[in-house]
Order: sequence, then C-alpha cells, then structure tokens
Amino acid sequence: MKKISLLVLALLLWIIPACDDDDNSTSSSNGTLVVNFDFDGAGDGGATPAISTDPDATKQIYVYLYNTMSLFPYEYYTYDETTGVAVDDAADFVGSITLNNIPAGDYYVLVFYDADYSQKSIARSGDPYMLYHSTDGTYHATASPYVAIKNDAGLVTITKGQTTTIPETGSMIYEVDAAVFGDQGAWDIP
Amino acid sequence: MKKIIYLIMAIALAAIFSCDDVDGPSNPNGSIRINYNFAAVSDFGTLTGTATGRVYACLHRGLGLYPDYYVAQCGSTEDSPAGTGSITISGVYHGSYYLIVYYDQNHDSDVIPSKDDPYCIYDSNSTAGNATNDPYDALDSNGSLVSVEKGETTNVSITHDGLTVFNYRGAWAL
Repeated sequence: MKKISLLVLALLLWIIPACDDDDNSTSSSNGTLVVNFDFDGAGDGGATPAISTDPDATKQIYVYLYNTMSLFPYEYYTYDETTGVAVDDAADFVGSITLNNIPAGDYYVLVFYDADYSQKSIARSGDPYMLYHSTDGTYHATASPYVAIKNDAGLVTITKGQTTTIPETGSMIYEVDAAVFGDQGAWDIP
Repeated sequence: MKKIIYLIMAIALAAIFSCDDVDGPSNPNGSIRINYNFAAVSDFGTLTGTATGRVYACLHRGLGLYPDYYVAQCGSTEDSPAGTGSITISGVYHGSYYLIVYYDQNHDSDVIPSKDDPYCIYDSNSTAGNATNDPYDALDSNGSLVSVEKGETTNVSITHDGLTVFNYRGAWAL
C-alpha cells in the first residue's frame, strides 16, 4: 500500500511541473501604450484651452483607460497615468504619455487637462478633454463617448509584449468644439 | 460522552433557529406598479420591423450611458398595449431604484431599447409628467429614486412627452 502511495505521489510531482508554460516567451501578458496629445490648437485647426490659474488644480495632463465607459469620466477607469509636470506654458500642451504594464485587451482612452480643482475627483467640471477616435483622420479625437463606442471607433488594442502608439501618426488634437467636462464632471455630449 | 455530544447538538440547533428574523416578514421583496402614459406619441401602435410593440418598465441600480446598463429587473405589457396602462413588477428586492419606461416601437437585433423608441426616466420633481429624458438631471434630482418596501406595493405614474426617443443603440437623447 505504501509503495502505491509513493508511486502516486511521484506521478503527481512529475505532472505538476509539466503544466508549466515551457515556451521561452515572456510570462507577462501586458503591453505598453503611448498616447500622443496636442491641446495646442495653433496651426492644427484645434482649440487651445487657457492655462489654468486654479491654485489647487494639478494642471497636469492625464490619460485614463476604460474597459467600459459610464456617464462620468471619473467612474470605472482601470488605468491612469500623467505627465507629472504642470502645464505652465502652451508648449506643455503638446507631448506624450506612456502607460506601462497594461494587461492585454481593448480600452477606451481619455486625455484631459486638470484645469479646475475638485475635491471629489481629478477629472471634473471645467477640465478640457478628448477621447480617442481612431477613424477621425484629422483630430483622432471626439468629445462624445457615444461616438467613441459606436462601431468600437474609440477602442485601442493592447497586445502582450508590444508597444501600441496612438494615433499611429500625429497626435490626438483637442477639437474645435473645445469640450470640457460639465456639471458633476459629465461628458460634454454635443 | 454521547450525552455531551447530544447536548452540544441541541445548543447548536437552538442557536441556528434563534438567528431567524422574528420581527417582520421573512420575504425581503416588494412590488411596484407603474402607471404609464404614452398617449402623446402620435404614431403609437405603428411598429417598424419585428419590434415587440410592448411598453417596458425597468428598475435600475444606477444610470449608465445606455438604458440596458445596470438593470435590476424589468416588466412589460403584453403585445399591442394601449397608450395608457400599467405594469406591475413583483418580487423586487427592497431598496431604491431608478425607473425607465420605454415603448419598443423599433427593432434592433442587439438590444430592445433602441433608436427612436420613445422613453422617459422617472423624476417625481419634474412637473412634466414625473419624467425627464436626461439621465444627468435624474442623477442630480432627489426625486428620481423610487423606493420599494418589503411586502408593499409602490405606485408611481409617469407620462411621456410625445417627443423624446432614444438615439443610436438606445443612447439617451442628450
């Protein structure tokens, strides 16, 4: 009986390591996203928000990623990143933000400028923003979550071990509509 | 030893039964009756495609970008209802809900609440038939939650303005 038990144990010990992933690929299922943004309308037909004078606002540019979007931008975002630098010159309105270690999958992308302080959330009333829109060849952006959702136009696919850059060329340009979050931080839906 | 085990079992059984709620109905559910009025919809009864033609009332735990988000429970009329009538939803877990009422006049293969379907969101603070078309207004109002109590039936009335319809894929008319 003891021999049978030892045999079973030995078999188990042999099987368990065999279940390990034995291809030499990276074990991480995450990727990287680079978001190029342009809130400076000069020369590209977009709008330019005023540089914030709110002493309590962070004045930084933020990127939020969503699996699904809700009525408010501060709800249900899954990843976020910031420039880490306060915008104090129009030149700071143009740049890029890199999000590392993002699980592979599809995301909606929000970029906003924290111009107005709120104690409830960073993304809030008065902040200029834009959502990624892959099929808008001019601005690569929209103010409406409905436009981003329709036909998955706003989805970005993050692939394991790869870096995705949006847009592929140029930048997300702050639209002529000059969208800012509304009351309670609601989307500025045209 | 056997007696001690019996004693422990008896104490355990007594403790289990003493956990029962004895000061109220054990059923935590209630009902809600929604009196709807879509009489202002001029083409009520005219359907496109294979729309169900029913009036639906849905209780929501929250409001999202689309009316099929955060649905707790729905009820509907039978086919070919009158423009005014009522829907009762039973077995509703007690609590507070947002209420959306719509008329499935247009077919969509993916969702029932779809483009051009007349709809309204309950808001008792609205003088226009206890209804609003804007989920942001509903969230901002202290009159848009309906309360369902244990063992009771809540009665509400809502009147559609005859104009407000869903946008693409059931998006709110914002």
